[in-house]
Amino acid sequence: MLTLLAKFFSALNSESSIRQISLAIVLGFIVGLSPLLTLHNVIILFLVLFIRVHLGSFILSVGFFSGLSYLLSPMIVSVGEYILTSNGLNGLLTMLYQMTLFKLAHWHNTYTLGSVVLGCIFAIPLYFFAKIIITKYRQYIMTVFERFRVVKALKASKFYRLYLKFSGQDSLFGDVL
Amino acid sequence: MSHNNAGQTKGLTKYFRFSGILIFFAVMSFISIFLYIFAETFIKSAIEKTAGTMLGAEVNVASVTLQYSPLVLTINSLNATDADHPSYNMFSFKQAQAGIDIWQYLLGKTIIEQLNVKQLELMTKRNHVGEVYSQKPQNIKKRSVADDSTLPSVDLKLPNIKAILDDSNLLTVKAAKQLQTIYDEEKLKLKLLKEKLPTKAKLAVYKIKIKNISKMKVKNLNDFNLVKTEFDKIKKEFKADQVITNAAKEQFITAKQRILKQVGTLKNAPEQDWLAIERQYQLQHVNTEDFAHILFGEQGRGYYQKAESIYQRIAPFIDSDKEINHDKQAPSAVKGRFIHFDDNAPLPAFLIKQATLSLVLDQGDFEITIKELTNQHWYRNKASTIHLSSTNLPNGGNVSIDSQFEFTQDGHSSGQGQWQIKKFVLENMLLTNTDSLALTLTKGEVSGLGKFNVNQDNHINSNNHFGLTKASYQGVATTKFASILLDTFKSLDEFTLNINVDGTIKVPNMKLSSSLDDAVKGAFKKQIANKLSEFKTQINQGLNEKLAQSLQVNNQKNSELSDFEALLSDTDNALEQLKNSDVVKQQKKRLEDKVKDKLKDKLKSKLSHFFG
Repeated sequence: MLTLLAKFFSALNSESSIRQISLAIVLGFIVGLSPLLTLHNVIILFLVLFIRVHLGSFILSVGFFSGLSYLLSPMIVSVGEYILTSNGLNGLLTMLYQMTLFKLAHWHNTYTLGSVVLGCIFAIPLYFFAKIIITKYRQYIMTVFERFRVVKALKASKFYRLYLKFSGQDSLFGDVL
Repeated sequence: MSHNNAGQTKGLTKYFRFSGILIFFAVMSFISIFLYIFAETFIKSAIEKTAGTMLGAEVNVASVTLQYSPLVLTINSLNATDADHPSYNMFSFKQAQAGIDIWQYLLGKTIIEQLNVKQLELMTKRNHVGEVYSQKPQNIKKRSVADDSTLPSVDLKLPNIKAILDDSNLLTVKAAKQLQTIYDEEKLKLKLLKEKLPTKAKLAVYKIKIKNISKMKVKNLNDFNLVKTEFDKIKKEFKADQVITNAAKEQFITAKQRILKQVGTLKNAPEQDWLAIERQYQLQHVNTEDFAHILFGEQGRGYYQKAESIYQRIAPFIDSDKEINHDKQAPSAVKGRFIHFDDNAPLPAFLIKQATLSLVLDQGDFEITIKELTNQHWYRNKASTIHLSSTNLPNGGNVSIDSQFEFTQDGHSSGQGQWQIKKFVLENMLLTNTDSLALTLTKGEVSGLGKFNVNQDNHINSNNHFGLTKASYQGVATTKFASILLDTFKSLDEFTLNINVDGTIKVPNMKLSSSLDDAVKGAFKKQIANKLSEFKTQINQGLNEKLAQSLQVNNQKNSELSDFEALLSDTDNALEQLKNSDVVKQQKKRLEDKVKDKLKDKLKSKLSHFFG
């Protein structure tokens, strides 16, 4: 966990693309909201590994939003329930239900569909929000934090050594991360 | 050219990680291998956790094995703690094998082709006390001790005789008081009339007057008319007095009738009082108590509450899989549920096509065969069928149950079935355990048959007949009532029991009748007959004393009435005699005689003058 956090902060502070980190957070958000072993999560995992997004941010995002998903589960289920029981969508959903892929993806499950829908709706705002936050962090907060005694003390810690190690981009999976 | 290619590749690698594909497959392989290795552990843990949550107590599984082609799940040695008795298992089995349709499972449906459960046992002793996670659901109401059909814990006590006899509400007391009042009222009325009645002196004056009239000299018609006028004058006075006398007579008759009626009421009052005492203290109902209901109703309620408790725990899990017709059902929080739509090849969300369970009880071995077990029967248009038969019962006993049920899409359910038991041996069966009586059937053979029917309005109707033979009992009684019951049981080696259930499934109305009732009633009657007879004698004695006292007091008053009656009679007779006096006729006759004599004398003198 400590390593993962070090990677995340390294990415925030490094020259890694803001878009790559933001996209990783958004994809982690979608995966984190929904049940782990679902078809769309497998596809997202493929995308995460295939497209150049920051893996550390993705994993951390999955962890964070999985916790959030647990807290928001009643709302997620309600959204799924509303969609799946809506009379207006019944025809469309019945048509989709005939497709094996639809059922295999468990989109007829209230939790899964609710999380996918909420994930997709909030993905774009979250992407831009993450971009703004990371930019602001790099511009202001990082330099301010550098002056704090606590930060100086942290720099002498194991966490900082790990941070340096990963910010050196000399790891085995350097090109991947 | 090659420079261009290198540039294009560099451009692509800026956006894509081609090595990521390899990593993806590596990760997926890792997940697959991980699941393959730990699947059995995960399933074991999931079964223990889910079943534990459903049943509210610890569930232990020894091991789970998975066979992949075809997918067969094998659960070895499952022990489910009874939440009410944590030292015992609600049920346990040696092995369960389920052949699961993996493809349907991936699509969100659980279709079990064949389920085999071996050595299913109920209420077996656990190796260690199981942990209880949650108590009985709150909406299961436990009947209070004061329930109308529980065994009375107090001994039979007759009411206090003195207290009863001192009660001012007794009819005997009331009737006596009423009689007293009537006497006083009527006496007052008659007293007023008596004052108006002609006195003896007045009657004597009347007689003198009549006498005087009779002595009047009537020489001519004028004298006679004077006599008549005088008599009519007196006669008017007679009539006025006679009216008063007649009114007094009528009043007397009314008073007498009123008094006689009240005396009759008073004489009947002790009997009425006894009936009221019997009713008030339920002396009639003591020997018509429903003993079968007291004993077996308690057991029946116990079984029903147990079944209801299990249903309450499982119901939310069953309902979460139930298909709804849009917006009918509240969303289940946290976990979500599958919602299925119209399909070309529809299947229920959960279905066990065939199950075979071997049930091992202390009484013998049984085999249960279940087909089409689901709660969505409309998909395949087949009802769930359950068949239970005994395979190894001692003494040639035999048990068979056949039933079927189905749920409709609009949420209704229906079912029917019949059962038959022959020579089924029961041993050490606790019938009741209250403060006053602990009763155990040590041994007995039960035979019986019955049937049940549940219609789509959730109305259940069931008729069941049991016959217990070769029965022996053990028990402890602490009250007289319980002792009678216990002795009666010990003297019986057989009895019959009929149980009829009617009403809605949630609140069924259970009626029990048994030959036991008559036996206990007879014994009870015999035992308390003397006590009750003595009680009745004393009460009636007390009431009759009250009656006698009242009648004695009223006898004195009755003689006063008799005197008055005599007076009335005398007065009436006297007046009648006076009224009917022939004094006028006598005077008339005298006058006529005189006139005749005169004419005779006149005629004689004339004739003598001619012949003289």
